Amino acid sequence: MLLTVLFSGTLFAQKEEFYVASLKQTTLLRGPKIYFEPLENRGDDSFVDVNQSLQELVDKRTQIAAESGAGNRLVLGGLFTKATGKETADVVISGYYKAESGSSRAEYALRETGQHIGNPIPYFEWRKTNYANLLVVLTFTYADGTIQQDSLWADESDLQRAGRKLMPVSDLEEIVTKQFKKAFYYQFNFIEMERRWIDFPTVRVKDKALKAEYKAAKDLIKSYQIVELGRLYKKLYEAENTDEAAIGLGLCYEILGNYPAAAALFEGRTDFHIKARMKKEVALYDYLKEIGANLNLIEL
Amino acid sequence: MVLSITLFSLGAFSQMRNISSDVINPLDKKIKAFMAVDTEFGLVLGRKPIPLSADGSGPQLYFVQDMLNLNQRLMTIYSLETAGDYEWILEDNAAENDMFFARSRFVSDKNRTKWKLLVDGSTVIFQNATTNAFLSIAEDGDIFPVNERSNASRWKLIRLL
Repeated sequence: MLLTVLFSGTLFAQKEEFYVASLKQTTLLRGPKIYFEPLENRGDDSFVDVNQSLQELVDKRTQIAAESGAGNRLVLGGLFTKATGKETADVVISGYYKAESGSSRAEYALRETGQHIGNPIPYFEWRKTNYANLLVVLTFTYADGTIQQDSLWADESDLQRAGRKLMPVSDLEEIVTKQFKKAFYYQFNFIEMERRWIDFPTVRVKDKALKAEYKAAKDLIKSYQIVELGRLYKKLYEAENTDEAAIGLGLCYEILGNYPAAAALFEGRTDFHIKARMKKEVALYDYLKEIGANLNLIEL
Repeated sequence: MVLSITLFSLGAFSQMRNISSDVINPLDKKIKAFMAVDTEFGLVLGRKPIPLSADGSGPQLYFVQDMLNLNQRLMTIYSLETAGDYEWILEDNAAENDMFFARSRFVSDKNRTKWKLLVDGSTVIFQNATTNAFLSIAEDGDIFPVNERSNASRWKLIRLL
């Protein structure tokens, strides 16, 4: 008897790491159709390819959802699509930028200090200053004609000092470029993905045929075949209506990103940890709905 | 540790206590090198004085201090040579009655290589400590002695970092 309990426990209870999504910060994007208009360069020559970096962010944000068994269909892709023209877009991203870098020299009038014989002798120092700065203004124009802006002013400089190496302009340009990439990254990647252990409960199955089928659950979890696993839990839930099967099905919905279905199944059945997690995920879902993103909810 | 870094950075920005270098080997990078630029013609003092270039470079000098008495210090003016083993010092030559940079080992009267640095506003005037003649420069870059202080060239000392 004891052996059977141990055996069934080790056979079916399964823990695995999955990505759990939550809202990292709000975005100025509105969906589902985005149009990116390359930014106007108001400077002479730019050390950073602003438009290419922004285009990459837009491309990544508008990519099609990856077709994998475990992928979170809601947040992995397809939330936004590319508009064919300005007129059809829900938001037009445009703006301008200005990049400057170089080196300047300033003269400092100085005089000897301290105790010495005779008058302190005046002298001058020519100190170089290397600098790199970048101004980027992103304008989000919405279909209703309203506008919101996000901007970046990154300014790095290094003043020459005696006994210290002056930082080259190229290094300063690199620092500014990093600041630029970091600044707008979260405007497009506003969802935080965090790895968390998900514990699937063991379901007690009375039906012999279903019990045999349920043995495959462990392998499905291990190989991240969550759609298949969800279908299996659904079958168990419809056949025997147990809380464990409901939670198993709910977890599959959660991993796949169908938070409303998961929340409905978890209602009155889960512990504090799942409740806290779901609160964040439902908040994300509501926010995505509010900004008009495509909600690619998967039904099992 | 934090304190020492702060003090160091303050030190780096502070003014020099003394413009003279205390070195034997002129190639030692710790020497305090200056460009002496004539305020009248914009010529840079060196073995061959040349106009100050657009990028701000030119021949450089360094000073080594001697104490004359408790009230006055004298400087030996060396030309900073990046190549060659010789030391070139500014001398008021008695035989030729002229001022020029000469190789240190060929200067017979070392007293004639000692200079007073007289302060005139933000510039300095070089006066020979032995002959009391002042250093002056012509538009063509020729350096020569003058007896009147008013005729002496005014030099702006510029330290390149």
